[in-house]
Amino acid sequence: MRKAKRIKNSLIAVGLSVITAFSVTACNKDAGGINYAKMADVEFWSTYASESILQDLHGVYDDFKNINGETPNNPKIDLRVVGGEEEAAKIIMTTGAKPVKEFYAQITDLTSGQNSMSKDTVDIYQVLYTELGSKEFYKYEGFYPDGLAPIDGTKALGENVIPKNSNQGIYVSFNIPYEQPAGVYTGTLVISMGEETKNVPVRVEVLDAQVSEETHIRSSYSLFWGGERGELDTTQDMYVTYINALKEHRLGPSGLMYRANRGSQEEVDMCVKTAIEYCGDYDEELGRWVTDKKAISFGMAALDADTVDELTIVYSDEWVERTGNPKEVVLGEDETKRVWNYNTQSKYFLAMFYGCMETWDPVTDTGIDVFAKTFCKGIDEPELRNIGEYMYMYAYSYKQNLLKIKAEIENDKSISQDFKNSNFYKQLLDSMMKVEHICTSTTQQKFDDKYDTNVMEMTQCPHYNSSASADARSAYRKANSKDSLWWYGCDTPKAPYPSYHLGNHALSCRITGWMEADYDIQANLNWATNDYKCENIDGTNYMEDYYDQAVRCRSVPGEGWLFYPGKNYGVDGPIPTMRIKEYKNGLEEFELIYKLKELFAAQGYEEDVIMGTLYDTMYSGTKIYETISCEIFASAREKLLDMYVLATSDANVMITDFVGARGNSSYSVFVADGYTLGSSDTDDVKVSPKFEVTANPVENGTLYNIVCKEENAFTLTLSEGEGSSAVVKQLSIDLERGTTQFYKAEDMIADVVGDSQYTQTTLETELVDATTINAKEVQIDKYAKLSIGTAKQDATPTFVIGGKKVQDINRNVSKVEIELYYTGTDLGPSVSLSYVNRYGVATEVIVTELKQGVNTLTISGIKSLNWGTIGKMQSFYVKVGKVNDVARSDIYLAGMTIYR
Amino acid sequence: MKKFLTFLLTICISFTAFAGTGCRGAAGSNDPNTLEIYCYVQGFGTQWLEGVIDLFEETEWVKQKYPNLKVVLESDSISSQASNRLYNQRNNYTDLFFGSYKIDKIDPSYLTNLTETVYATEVPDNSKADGSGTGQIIYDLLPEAAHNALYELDEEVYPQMNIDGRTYESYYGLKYVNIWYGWMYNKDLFDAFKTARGWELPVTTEEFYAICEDILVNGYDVTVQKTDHHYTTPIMLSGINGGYAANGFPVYWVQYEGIKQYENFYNGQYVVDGQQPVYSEKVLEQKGRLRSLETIEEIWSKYTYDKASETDYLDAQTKFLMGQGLFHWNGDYFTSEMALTRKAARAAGTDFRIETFATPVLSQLVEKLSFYNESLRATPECDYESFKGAINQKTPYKELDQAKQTYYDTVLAGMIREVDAGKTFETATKSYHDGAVEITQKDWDIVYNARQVKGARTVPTQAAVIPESTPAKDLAVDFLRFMYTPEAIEEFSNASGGVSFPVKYYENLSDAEFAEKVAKLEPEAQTKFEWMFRKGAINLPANTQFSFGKVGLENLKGYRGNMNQTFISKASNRATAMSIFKQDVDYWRGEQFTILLEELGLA
Repeated sequence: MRKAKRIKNSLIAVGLSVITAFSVTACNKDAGGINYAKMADVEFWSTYASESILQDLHGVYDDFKNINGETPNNPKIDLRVVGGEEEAAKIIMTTGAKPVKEFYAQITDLTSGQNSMSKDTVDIYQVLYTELGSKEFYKYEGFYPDGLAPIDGTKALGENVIPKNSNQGIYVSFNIPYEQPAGVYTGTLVISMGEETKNVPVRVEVLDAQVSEETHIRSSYSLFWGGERGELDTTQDMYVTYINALKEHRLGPSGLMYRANRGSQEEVDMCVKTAIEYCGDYDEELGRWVTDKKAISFGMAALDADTVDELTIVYSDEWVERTGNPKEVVLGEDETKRVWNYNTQSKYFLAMFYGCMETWDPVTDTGIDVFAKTFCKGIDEPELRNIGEYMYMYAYSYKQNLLKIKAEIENDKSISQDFKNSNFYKQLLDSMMKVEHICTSTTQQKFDDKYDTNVMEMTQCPHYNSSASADARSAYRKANSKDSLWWYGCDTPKAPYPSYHLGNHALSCRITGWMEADYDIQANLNWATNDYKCENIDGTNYMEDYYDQAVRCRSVPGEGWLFYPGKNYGVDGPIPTMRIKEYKNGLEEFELIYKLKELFAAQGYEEDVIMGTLYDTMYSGTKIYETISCEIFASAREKLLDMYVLATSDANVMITDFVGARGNSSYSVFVADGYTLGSSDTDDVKVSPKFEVTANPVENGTLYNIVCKEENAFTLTLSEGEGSSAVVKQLSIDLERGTTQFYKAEDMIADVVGDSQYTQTTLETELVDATTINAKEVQIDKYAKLSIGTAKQDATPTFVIGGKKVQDINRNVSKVEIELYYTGTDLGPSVSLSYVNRYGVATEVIVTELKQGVNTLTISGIKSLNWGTIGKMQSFYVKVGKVNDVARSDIYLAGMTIYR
Repeated sequence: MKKFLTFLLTICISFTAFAGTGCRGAAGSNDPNTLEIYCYVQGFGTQWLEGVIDLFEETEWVKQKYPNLKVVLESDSISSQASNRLYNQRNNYTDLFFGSYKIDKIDPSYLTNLTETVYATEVPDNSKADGSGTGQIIYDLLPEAAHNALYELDEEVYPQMNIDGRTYESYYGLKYVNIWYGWMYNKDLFDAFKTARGWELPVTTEEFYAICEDILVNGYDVTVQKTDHHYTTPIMLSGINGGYAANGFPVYWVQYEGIKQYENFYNGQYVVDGQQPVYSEKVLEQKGRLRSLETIEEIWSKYTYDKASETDYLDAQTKFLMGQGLFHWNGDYFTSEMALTRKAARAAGTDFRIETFATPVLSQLVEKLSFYNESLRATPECDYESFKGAINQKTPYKELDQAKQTYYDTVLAGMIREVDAGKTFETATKSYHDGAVEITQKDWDIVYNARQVKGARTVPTQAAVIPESTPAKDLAVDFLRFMYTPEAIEEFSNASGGVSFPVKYYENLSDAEFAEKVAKLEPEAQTKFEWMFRKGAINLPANTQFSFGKVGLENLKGYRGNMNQTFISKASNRATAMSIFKQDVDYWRGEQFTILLEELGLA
């Protein structure tokens, strides 16, 4: 047992522990006079469910305790959720010098007026701990929380004990029914220790909105890497149990059965059956198959590779015209030609097709379309296996095979004409032709003119870090046949990139969902969800303890599994980990954002600006800030919920724009017809001198522009009907976090100089009235005119921004904005901005072209930089124009804003 | 009763289970006097370690300090063995790892800090019964290349340490082997023909090619074990394995660009005189990389054994020992791998003297010298598009006619020979071709520095580490300290047949002392040591010692082939130096380089 296993090297000590443990649980009486804790000896506190509170670490959690403002030892549970969500809270029990003999927890029904939420919708787990000896991703070594075992199961096993000097978590997960009426529901979590009990008040506010039942992002999570070992069960029933466990977490399996008898008719039949039952249910009442909207995605069986003697690639006319390359390429004799085997591919696809055909209901012309949910995981990490050269051959053969399969179906005279005339038939064929052929890759792939997506089918699935920039994602999408983008991680990349690695902040899993929404990712892939085996030193791969082996492969804790076997705890199937729960939470938030996008788009707006203010608090690119905390995340989630509720309401309130600059912010807020913003006597933003508000009628509603002159946070009231005094909603906005400091031109001028060291560019500066340059300037008085001289031969004119303001930039700065004003009328010069680190080496962070007017050069992601390496930013190095450019004086510095 | 029996039975089972997992098993020991060493086996085997272990056990102060000393050596060729064990510390019983690549770069919390335990201490005096120090601090014995190899940029993870009033870097590994790849030649054969054929040991690649051409055309005759042979093989190599063409890549590259630019490359820094150094994928466009590829291509495609593509490395090495082929490119492995074959050959009466010679400087280096007067090409299309702005557009050396090439190469060769003779700029010849060519200080510096790259001398990424949690830590530490004693250094070389330990030792000996210390080695190893230590061959640091190298900036990443096989191949569509160079530039362009910046937290 994990909790007693910390004494490792002394056999006698271990033996005593065993005796003690078994004495306590098997015989339920004190042994050796152990003095057990009473409730008063135990500290109870609440914390975020995402928080990793180590079992054996103390003295560092004061800031994580009592997150709901409770007094010590009086924890509460207080959550805000939408219908259909699963959201959790955590109570920690901390023992002192005495262990707890046993504990238990149960919850009452929750009520809100006439409405109630059954206690059966709540799962209570005991947190299980796994030892990590590494500091690779985190600060401390010790016992990390991971597994979640049902409290009834741990009780039955006698594991509901708490050693002395330990933290023990109770993880309370609320599964809010979709149709749960909005309201504040209250109840009590009762924690008992022997005869003593402690009541923990529970408050769950169900907001007036629901998360989508459907999951709009695919996934491929493998279940066949040793999964059968943990359960000692190789039946298809158990495999399906795991598939369903994934489905509960909004995830899809990479395959439909364990890898046995691959390719046999039995296996094919089983795959078809499992696929159809995954995607739908037979409704006895209706007498037909009905699609299960909770089905996410699943992987077709793996393909077989062949080496052929001849291969001629026939390109499409479109590609020939675009690239100028030949129409046909006959691969040479000494070139290896690898393709996907038609027989294998067609076996599965045809079987799936005919299986779907069996589900067709002629009356409604519907059936189960498994192709709409499936993908083919074709090429795996080709650069590591030296098959990179063959990718385009595989992509070609996959597509050509699909075309042959389609032709075979179309020519199949055994298919009834009625069916062939149906829309479902067309739908099936169409879906089948769109089944993606996935290629995972650990390194950035280069796309050349070999990938004619008209005749080849491939969807790249790069690592998280290869997809960090918009340019990279765009490049991948263009090269992919479906304009879709998958991504994945495994033992790499490691933190600060998203990972499931144990010991990494659990929020990493959750924030992945936000990134996926941010970057329109189509699918997430994970190679192993229940790898119940490990790489032992002696070459074997059995595990002795499925619950306490943090490193199973590739030397990375947590790599390979997100479930634990549940049998011990009375569960037929897996029990979850905190990590998979976090990922599910992130996917639910993905769905909220997905819906927001739809709502914004319906009105012709985009949500990315306002959502970007939330994303920016957590990550940059695909790197999660080292400074991330549950508190920061909770704040972002709260704002997301606020915006979601408002956007999905009849008032359709949407913040369509946000500009935060020079220390002040402005917002654009859309409100649907029939509603107005701001009418409260005390908080009327329209009359407050702190804000300047204009209201502009637009299609379907009103667009309010709110300029914050003194404060960036405000409360808006939303009223239904013009002039009504009834307050329908209150909208509190505080989207600016931290402080901003704006340095005017006159503050900076002394530190802006020419580059005398390298390019020998001269620079003269002069303060001028801002309005003489920019008639619209209202906030500041002066701009600094930059008279940039020529550089030496073959160099680009460059100036330097240095001084303390730059050198004080550190990891607590989220971004820096430098404002330049360009007075030219044509497209302006290119500008490249680099920061120079302590070694005197520059990293280029911005390349842009100036346009007439205000240009804001934004350096973001500063928190995600490695400050141990950079040391400090000595200066900003700004190149203007091109090599040997003439002198110029059409650029002005307005100022610099530093956001902390 | 039943409950009690169940309880007892359960305890028995638990004891067994915990005995298997909680304590070290039969293969491991908790005894602080038992030193369990694991060694990853590479081409030079483990004889070097076995020799040092034997010596350690026999040393008096060791015997006194560890009277019950036992040393257990385990070895295999599983490259992940060391790191797996280090990460699984609860199941690990090894006290000291001589591992494969980069194990000293894993999370330092797994490892013992060697700065305070080894480097900041004195070399033990093996003549003293108490093993007290000689006064020499081990840290100061590390060659610069070893310091570079151990150094980490991130000062938060690897902070500097202050020990006894002195500042040290945090090191967690010990670089335990120098690696050398270089040219060997059959000295007996060379000397037999040099006078008649006008050969001189080549100092430039043009001179090298001239000798090779001569052999190709005219061959040479040799009698081996009473059999007459006429050989026309200039360079004996295997085209299947061995060969090691890619190991020559950094040699010519650094000759052309200089060591600083090589380091700049692996630090991702694009550095051009007079420009702000910047992290940029333009580092891939260093011309020296192309020139190096061109040089290797010329050598491998024209002058290697015509049946190289069918010849295994051991076979090729044997042929070379038996006189077929005047030149051979190989690494440290050669001596130990050929030990038995050589013994048999000698017994049969064949014993050619093989020596190492300094890698000829690539003749294209003249492009960088002030007297290279070739005017701008009329049509400035360059070898590679990106060069248009980045490099000068003078006609490349290899496009000049032979007479011109010889004209320049004569100067280069003359300068190199003067460098070899110990001249300085002040004492060297300044004027060639009747005053038509004048040498500047900068020219001299370029040629001098190029000449220091005598072979691919590297302190590689292999390292020794001590796990943080090991009961025999003191013993492991003392073993590592012992490796820096003269006796151990010499034993290392002798037992391994000429592989060397990265330490400043041989260079500090007098000529007579040096000769005595290397006398036990084969001639090619003796002359290799001479070039490495006495004649100052510079170290080429392994890429993973540098920031960008650590996160994956590697050479030839865009080219996944085998350079050996590529350049030996007679296929008309084989990859060329230019195509390989372009593949590499293309590979890193754009997002790939940005990923490295992000991995390093620079962007």
